[in-house]
Amino acid sequence: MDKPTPSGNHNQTPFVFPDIEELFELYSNDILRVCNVYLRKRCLAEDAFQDVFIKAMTRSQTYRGETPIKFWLMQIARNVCKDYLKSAWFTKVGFYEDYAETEAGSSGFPEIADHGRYDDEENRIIDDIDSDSDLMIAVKALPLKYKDVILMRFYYDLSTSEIANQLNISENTVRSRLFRARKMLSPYISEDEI
Amino acid sequence: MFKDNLNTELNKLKVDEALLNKTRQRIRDAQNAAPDQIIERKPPLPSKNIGVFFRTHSILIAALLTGIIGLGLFSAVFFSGLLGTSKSTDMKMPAQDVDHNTANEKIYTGDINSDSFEAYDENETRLANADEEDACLFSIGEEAPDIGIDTVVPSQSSIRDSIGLSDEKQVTLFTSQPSAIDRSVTIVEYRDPAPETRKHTPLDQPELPLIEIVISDITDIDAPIILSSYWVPGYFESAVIVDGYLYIAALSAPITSGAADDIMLQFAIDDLPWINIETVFALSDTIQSYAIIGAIDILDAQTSPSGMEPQFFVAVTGGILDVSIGEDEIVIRDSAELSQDAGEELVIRFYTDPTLGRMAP
Repeated sequence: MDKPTPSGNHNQTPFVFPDIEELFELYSNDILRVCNVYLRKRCLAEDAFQDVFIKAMTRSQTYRGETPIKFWLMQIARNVCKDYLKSAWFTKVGFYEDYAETEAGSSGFPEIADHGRYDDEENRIIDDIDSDSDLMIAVKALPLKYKDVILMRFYYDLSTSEIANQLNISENTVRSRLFRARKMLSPYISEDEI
Repeated sequence: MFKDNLNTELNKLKVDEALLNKTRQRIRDAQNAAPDQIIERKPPLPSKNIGVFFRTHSILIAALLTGIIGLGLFSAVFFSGLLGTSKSTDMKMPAQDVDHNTANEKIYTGDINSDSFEAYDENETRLANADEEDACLFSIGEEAPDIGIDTVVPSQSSIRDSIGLSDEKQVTLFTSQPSAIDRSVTIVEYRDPAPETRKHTPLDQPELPLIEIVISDITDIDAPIILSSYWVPGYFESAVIVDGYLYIAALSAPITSGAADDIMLQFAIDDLPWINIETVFALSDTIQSYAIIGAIDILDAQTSPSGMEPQFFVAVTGGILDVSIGEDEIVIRDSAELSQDAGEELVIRFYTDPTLGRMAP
C-alpha cells in the first residue's frame, strides 16, 4: 500500500501547505479508495475525489497543521461522501446498472443488462464494479460508521485512541463499532485481528 | 490476514491521469472563480478617526443638527394646522402592489383584528415581538390576511397533546395568505415555560423551541381546513413565500451529540410529524450549530399526485450560522470565530425539477 508518512505540524517551523501535485502524489490513491468504499461506485467516487481536492485547495488557508494532512483530507472525504449519500439525488435516483442487473436477474434476459453500455468509459466503470471481490462487497455494504473504523484501523493503521480522536467519539464507542463491524465481516476476519 | 486482504483489494484501485487532469482543471476553475465570490467588507472606521472628525467639525455638526430640528418643528406645526387632526389609528395597510424585489425587507406588525399597522425593520420587529403572544408578521409582498387569528392557529390538538404542548405556550410569528390561492400559511413557535413536561424532546434539548408550520385551505373562510402541519425544532429565523413555495429558515441550538448523521436519526421520531432532513450540508468541520432550511409546496400541501414529497428540508452544520433568506437563494454563513472555516458561505438555491420536485443543489 502506498501510504504516505503522517506529517503533522507540531513543531514551530512555519508550515507551507503542499501544492496540488504533491497532494496528488501522496494522497490521491488513498482518497479515491476511501471514497470508493464509502460510495460503492467508482463513478461517484471519482466525482467525490474531485470535490475533496477542490475543497482542500480552496480551503487550504484554514488548515492549521493540528492534524496530519492525510487525516484532514480523509475528514473532508468523509464529509463529502456523507453529503453525497444524504443528497436527495442519491436517495431518489437509482443507477441504471442496478436496474439492469435486477431486470436481467428477474426476467432472464441478459441483454437488458447490456443495454445502455454504450461507451468504453461506462464499460470500464461497470467492469470495475463487477470485479469487486466478496470481501470488498462486504466492506462496502457496511454502514457508514463501521466503514469509518474499519478503514482507519486496517487501512490507515490507527490505534483505537487515534480513531476516537479522529471521529470525536469515545474509545469505548470505537471498540464497540469495531466489534460489530467484525461480526458483520465474520467470514473474512478472525477474532484476533481486532 | 484480513488487513492484508483488505489492502490488497483496496490497492487495486488507482487514480488515473484523466481523473487527475479533470481535477486539476476544476481546481483551476474554482480558484479563478473564487475572487469574484469574495464579499468585500468595509473596514470599520477607527475610533480615533471618529473622534478627530467630531472635534474638527463640531461647529458644523451643531449647526446642521439645529437646522434639522428646527425644520422638523416647523413642519410639525405647519402640517398639524393645515391638515387638522391626524390619528395613528386611521393608518391603513399600505397598497399591496409593492415591487416584488422588496418583499421581506419590511414587515408589518400589529393586532390582526385591528386596522392599525406600523412598519418596522424586519429584525427589530422579530426581536420586539418574539415574546408577544398573537403578534403577527406579514410579508410586505403578500396580501394581509383578513381572517381572525383563531381560524388559522393550528388546531391539531391531538398532535400538540402528544408532544405535551398547549395553546397557551404558542407565539405566532408568521401568517400569510398568498394572493390568488386559497391557502394560508401560519408559523407558530412554541416556547415552553415548562419544557420538562414535553413527552418528546428533539435532540434531547427540552429548552429548544418547536416551530409548527400549518398550511390551511381557506376556500371557505369561515371553516378553514388544515391541510398539513410540519414540525421543526429550533428558533424561527425567517420565511418568505415565492411562486407558491414557502421557504423557511430556522436556527437550532448547538449539537452535543457530535456526528452529523445523528441529526437525521433524532428527527426520525415515529408517530410524530417531524420534518425529515433530506440532506446535511457540512459548511465546516466544526459542528457547533445547524440551520434548517425548508421549502414547502403550499399548493401541494396535503397530497402529492405525482408522488413527490411536498416538502423538502435540509440541514446545514457548522459554527455559529447566520442565515439570510431571499427570494431566490438562502445564504448560510459560518460566523464562528473559533471555527476553522469562519466566513465560509453556503448558498442554497432550491429549484424545480420536473421529475424530482423542489430540490436543493
